[in-house]
Amino acid sequence: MVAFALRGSAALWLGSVNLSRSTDALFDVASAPAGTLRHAWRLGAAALCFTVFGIGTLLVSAWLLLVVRPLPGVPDARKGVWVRNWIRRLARGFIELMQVLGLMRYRIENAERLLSPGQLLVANHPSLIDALFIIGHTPDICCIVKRELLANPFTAWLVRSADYLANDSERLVDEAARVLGDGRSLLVFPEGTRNRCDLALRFKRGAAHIAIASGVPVVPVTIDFSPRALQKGDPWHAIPRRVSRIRLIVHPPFDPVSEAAVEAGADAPVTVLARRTTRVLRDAFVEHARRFADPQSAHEPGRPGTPSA
Amino acid sequence: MTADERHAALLAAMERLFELPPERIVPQARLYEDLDIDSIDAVNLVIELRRLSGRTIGAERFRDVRTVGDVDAVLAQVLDEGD
Repeated sequence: MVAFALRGSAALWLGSVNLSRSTDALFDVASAPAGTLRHAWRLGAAALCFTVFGIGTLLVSAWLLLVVRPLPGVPDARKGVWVRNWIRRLARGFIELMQVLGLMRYRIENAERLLSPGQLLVANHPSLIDALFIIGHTPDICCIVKRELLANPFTAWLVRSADYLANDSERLVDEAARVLGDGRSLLVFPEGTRNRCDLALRFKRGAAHIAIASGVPVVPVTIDFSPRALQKGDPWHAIPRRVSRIRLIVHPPFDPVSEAAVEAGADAPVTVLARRTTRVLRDAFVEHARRFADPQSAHEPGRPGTPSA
Repeated sequence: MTADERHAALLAAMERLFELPPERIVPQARLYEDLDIDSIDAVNLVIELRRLSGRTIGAERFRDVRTVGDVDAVLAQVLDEGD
């Protein structure tokens, strides 16, 4: 029945694509007040999006907490799968709604790579909604959340039963390795918080430690968000003049740990290996961001990282 | 272990674990802000100090440690207690 309701709403969304296209066209023809009108439309759409997302989250939480949670005879692990499925649907619904309302356009390249189980997905973090793209398109994914969500009784059960991990846990690295060992994917933003620029990334070393402890290769997900919106500190109504285009690329898995180990030596302490691994990871992301910022160089394969004279 | 030996041992451990140049490992250097030592590093440092001192050191003793000087002070205390 849930699937049915979802298919119904998906059809609604698809139906409204044409509607938003035609309103776009309408605003394009109008000359002087076009910018203002279009801005007003998108402001309203943004307000609607956040309201719908808020209400949707509330309804789903109520359903999970009041109906699913007390269900007798269902193992907790099974309920956990349900909770994660609902979070995925919410995330997917929200980004599709934003797209349909013309707030942004997104595209995921090699999205099929997200379907393999037990992957360590590492992404840069330009905006508030980055996680939603990846959660919305990955079957059974674990996330790292703020400790505050475990302190709040309303969200604590959801976070616990979804088996999400707390960011300040002393056992975070071991827990992450367990999750990956169980065949669930894990999403990590090594920056720990949203950035201001993809060319000056500051990576914490948690992702490297998780890669070292789990032995699982890293699947880098680069997120190019242009023009930038929903950055750290931006209010929801600060909408850029142009519609943001978001391009996510799911890159092939690679092993930054062995690359770092060659350089660090076999008997290097884990603290050193984590530093070198973090550098390898970070360099890969900066290299990508540099190519994205300078599209011409993207057509020169094998070009070294130094700018040409 | 004299104070000089203790300093030298701590310096060597931090150089090895965190790839820091020795001139940056000064008493007033803050672990997180100045030396980029995170919580996982701290756990590894405590393990290393246990090995160096041959004593069991509870992690809780490092709760209020902020600088290299603080670490040295805890290490000195631990070594004193053992005598």
